[in-house]
Amino acid sequence: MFDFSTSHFLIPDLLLLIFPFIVIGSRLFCNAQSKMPWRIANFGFIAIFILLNFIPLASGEGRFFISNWRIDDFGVLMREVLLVSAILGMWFAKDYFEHGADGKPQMHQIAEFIGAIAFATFGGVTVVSACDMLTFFLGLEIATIPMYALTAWNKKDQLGSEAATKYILMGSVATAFELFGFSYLYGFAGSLHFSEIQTAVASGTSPLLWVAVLFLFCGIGFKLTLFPFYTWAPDVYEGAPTPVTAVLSVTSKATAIAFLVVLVFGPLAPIQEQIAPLIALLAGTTLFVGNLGALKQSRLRRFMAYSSIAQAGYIMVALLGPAATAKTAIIYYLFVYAVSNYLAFFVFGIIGHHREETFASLRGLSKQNPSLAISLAISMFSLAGIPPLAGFFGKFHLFYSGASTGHYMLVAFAVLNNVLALFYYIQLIKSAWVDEPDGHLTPLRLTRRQRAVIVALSIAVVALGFLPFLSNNIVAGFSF
Amino acid sequence: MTNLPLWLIPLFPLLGTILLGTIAVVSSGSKKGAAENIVGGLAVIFPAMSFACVTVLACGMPESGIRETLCNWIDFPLLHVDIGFLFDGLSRIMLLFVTGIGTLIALYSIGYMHGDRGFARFFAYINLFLFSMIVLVLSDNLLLTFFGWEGVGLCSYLLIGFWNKDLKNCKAANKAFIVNRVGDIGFLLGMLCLLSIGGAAVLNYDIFNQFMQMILNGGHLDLVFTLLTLTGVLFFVGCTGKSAQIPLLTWLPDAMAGPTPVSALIHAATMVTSGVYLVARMGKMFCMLPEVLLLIAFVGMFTALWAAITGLFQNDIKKVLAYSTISQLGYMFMAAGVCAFDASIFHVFTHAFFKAALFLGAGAVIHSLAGEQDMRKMGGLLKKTPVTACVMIFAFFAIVGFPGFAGFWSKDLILEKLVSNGPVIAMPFALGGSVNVPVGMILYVVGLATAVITAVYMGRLIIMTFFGEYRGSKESEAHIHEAPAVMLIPMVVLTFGSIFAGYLWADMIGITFFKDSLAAALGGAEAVGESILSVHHVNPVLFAVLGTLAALLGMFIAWRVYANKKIPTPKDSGAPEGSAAAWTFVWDYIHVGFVFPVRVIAWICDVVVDKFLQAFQWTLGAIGEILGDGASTFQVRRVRLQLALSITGVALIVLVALFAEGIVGIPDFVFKLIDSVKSLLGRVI
Repeated sequence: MFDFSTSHFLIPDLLLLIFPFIVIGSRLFCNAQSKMPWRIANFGFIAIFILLNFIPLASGEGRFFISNWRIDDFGVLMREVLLVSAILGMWFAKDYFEHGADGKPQMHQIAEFIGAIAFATFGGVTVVSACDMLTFFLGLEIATIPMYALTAWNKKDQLGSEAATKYILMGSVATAFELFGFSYLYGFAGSLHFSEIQTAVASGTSPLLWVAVLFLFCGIGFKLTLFPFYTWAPDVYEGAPTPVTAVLSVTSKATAIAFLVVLVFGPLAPIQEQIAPLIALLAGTTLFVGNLGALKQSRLRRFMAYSSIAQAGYIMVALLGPAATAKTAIIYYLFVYAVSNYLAFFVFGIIGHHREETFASLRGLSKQNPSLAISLAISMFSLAGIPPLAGFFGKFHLFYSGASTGHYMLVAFAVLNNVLALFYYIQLIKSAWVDEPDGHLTPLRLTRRQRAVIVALSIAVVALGFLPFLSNNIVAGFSF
Repeated sequence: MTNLPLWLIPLFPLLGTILLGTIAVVSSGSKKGAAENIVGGLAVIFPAMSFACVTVLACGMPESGIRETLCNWIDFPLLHVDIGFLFDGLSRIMLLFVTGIGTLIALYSIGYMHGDRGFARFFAYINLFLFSMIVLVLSDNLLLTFFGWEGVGLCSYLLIGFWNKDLKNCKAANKAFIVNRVGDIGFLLGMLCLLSIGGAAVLNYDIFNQFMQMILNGGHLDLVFTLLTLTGVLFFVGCTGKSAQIPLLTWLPDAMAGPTPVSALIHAATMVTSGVYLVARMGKMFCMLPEVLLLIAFVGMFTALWAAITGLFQNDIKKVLAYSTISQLGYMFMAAGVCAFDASIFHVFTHAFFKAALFLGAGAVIHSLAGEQDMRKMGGLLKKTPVTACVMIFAFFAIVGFPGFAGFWSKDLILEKLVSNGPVIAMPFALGGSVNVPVGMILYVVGLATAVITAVYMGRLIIMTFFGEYRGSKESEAHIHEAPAVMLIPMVVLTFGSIFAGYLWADMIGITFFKDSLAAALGGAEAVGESILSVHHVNPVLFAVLGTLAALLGMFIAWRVYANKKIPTPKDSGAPEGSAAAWTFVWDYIHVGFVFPVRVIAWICDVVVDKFLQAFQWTLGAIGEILGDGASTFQVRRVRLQLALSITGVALIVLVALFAEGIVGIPDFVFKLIDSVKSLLGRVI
């Protein structure tokens, strides 16, 4: 393929930074009904995604730019996850700008909406590229602040405003915790730069460091919806417009987990073993509570909120492993999780356009629209981790990573918890396949985009399980 | 031109599968189905392109073969498998006839399947089959071969049950699949055994060969001999499943329930020979294991004889051919059993031509008689369908080993090898002393007898079908017609193959082209085997004469017995009988003996164990629900409370860390906490 030398690796990042301005700016030059911003957004996101795929992997330490921007394998793959999430989120959101859904009015200003998603994505990119605490913190904030706005996008929807208010309040507390943690970390190490912090941590610990670590974990615990900081999530997930919920559950979660990965395998790497009990504790309680909470839900988005809380717990398990294994497992799982989750949301979205978003609306789906019911079943089984779907291999790698450093108890606990998870995922499939519909069903209509995306995602969920490309970057890795 | 990538070969049929599958799915709703011209064209063009690739590659292949790794497939610390391809002398021959005959049969099927509702679906399956078969043959490691192995099994299942409106067909498909699975277990366990001997890397064929050479050179054979023998037996069990040898032969006659081109392609020419291919591919291992070789040779011998005798009593034209296939596969395994891997592959090669021609001819007969398969209702078709009759008669000469035809060269070669390579084994008597048993001679005599029987039952088929008077009803006689050109062309091409394919290795007139082309791939194994088996050279002309005499004798017997005999009017239906194939009943009953205990265990599991488990599950489930209620009530809607809760959480974690003297101490602290709670409870109670 064409030559993509080291200094060009920065191009996708720069494009992603400029891109939202172009999308929003394009609105100035065309009228409200114009499709221009939408087309530019599509083209831009996909172009950046394709460009990313040309960056060859297996580059060791990564490449540094202006001392605080690093592009390594993990970063590149995380960028791909974030972009996939952004693209799918954008496609998913498009319908909500054409008509209302789930009892909420139609949304407006798609260009700004996409811009906000792009900013959040850029925030995630900043987190995975950061080499010092300042950039790191900025990235997290850039990733979070657009989310507040996105949650309240539907100005006429009171629940949305309530959710956004709640989200801002909880988010500010989280930020406060993080800043507190960062300041102690700075106090401990005397430097902002990760490599210097790492040297300082390696040379000995002090209570200052432990306080910093605790607060950092608690702070990110809010964003990652860990127990006991998850309480905002069900309300926000339910109050936000459905596409925002989808983006929240993937982009925001991916950013938060990337934050932890960078932290644990970067500056805190020397004490990874010592903080393992904390990670294990948070992971275990989170996945347990998330699974329990999901058991009795009847609203689809609330259900997905608890499901994603539990998924966060599962991902945390992988953090216990050695760096390479853990990073691979997490990246792979995030890919799989993004695809499965969006597939579920697409199906829910189509239902939500015509009915309420509850379990009861799914009844009779298998008779009314079998292919939709099959897609739903595929996504649910994948989230539950049933072989041969991608979710199974994803969970396998997560657990393998956790088990490779000897945390068998936690892994066994997580596996047992999966039984609980399977129970509620199958409940959903049961409503779609077994339960008889009560009375008249409003017909479901699928646009061509929805149909194409659902088919593509279903195939992806099945194929990601055994396609071997993840050891290589998609385009750069193949030797044709 | 030789820099064509190898992955192009499987890519074309795969594309064909996807394309035709899409067409089949999309057109399933419409009344008329997809246009047959387009579908048929697509169905032929993909295998043809694949064949073209193989041909180009075959011409420019270096002696040592071409190796190519496409990408990584499985990457664990314990198991690293690449998707890689190996194109050497052995896979070249296999690929040439798999793709070549596959193309011809796809072409033939356009005529045969004309007007069928599942036209596109059929060709999607055929392309999928070719893809799997190519992967099986082209792969450079056992695991990928297994992938293809399973793939062809699946396609076989799909195609046997192609007309799934009829329950009999479905049962036959099920039987084929299940019996094959029994063999697959052998394959899988064999791979595990191999892994335990040599580690995961041995799954790659190149490393496998080096490893076996290392064992042999280093004299380490004693160390691994038992395990290696077990491996060999297990792999051979896998081969008996796929290649329909005793005891897993019952599925092949039933498999004739599928459309005839399928029988020709899968159940005669290609898939069923994959067992022979695997034995040849792993020849480096088998040649060191005399006991396993003996087992292979004798299983092959008994299968050949048994199937030939059974073939005498069949009335369904396709079943005769099915048993004949089993019998010929028996010959191939006999050859493999005396380390003559090249001879067995040569027979695979020639057999592919004449058996495909026979099946396609039978298909043309069935087509012209509007679906009639019972030979008792045929007869006198020579005048009505002359081209088909000529094809069948030429292929008949090939299979009985008439001098000059393909079967003559390959079958006589096998018989010759049986004598020259056959081991002599000292058999101890119960009372003491021992006698030398010339195993080679036994194999040869039985092989020769089988050749006579082959000529008899094949003669019977030809006589009952093409000579004498037509025995069907009058109104059906009027409709008899020659097959369309699209069916005749592949038949004629295959007929040329079944006449001339044998001249690639005609020892007597000094042509050893075939042997030389395989020498790089198989020569090593054979050299080892021959050194163990103590080969003595024999005069090939003698065997040729004896083989010819056997064929002539068989044809004479067939002529005397069947030409003037009054054929009884059929009482039973000649249609495929689903799960109960006539004359294999012994093996079917033996299978039932294995199935019955499994059913008993299944019943116990269903009735007893299940109830206990269910009770246990309900209890657990109830606990889970109660806990779930608890977790839901924990969720409050007020921000104040939520924040308070979270901050309490932080405080708790900090406190725990404080009390436990750092995060490291948390587990200890938790245990201590539990202990103190326990003691507290103990005091209270």
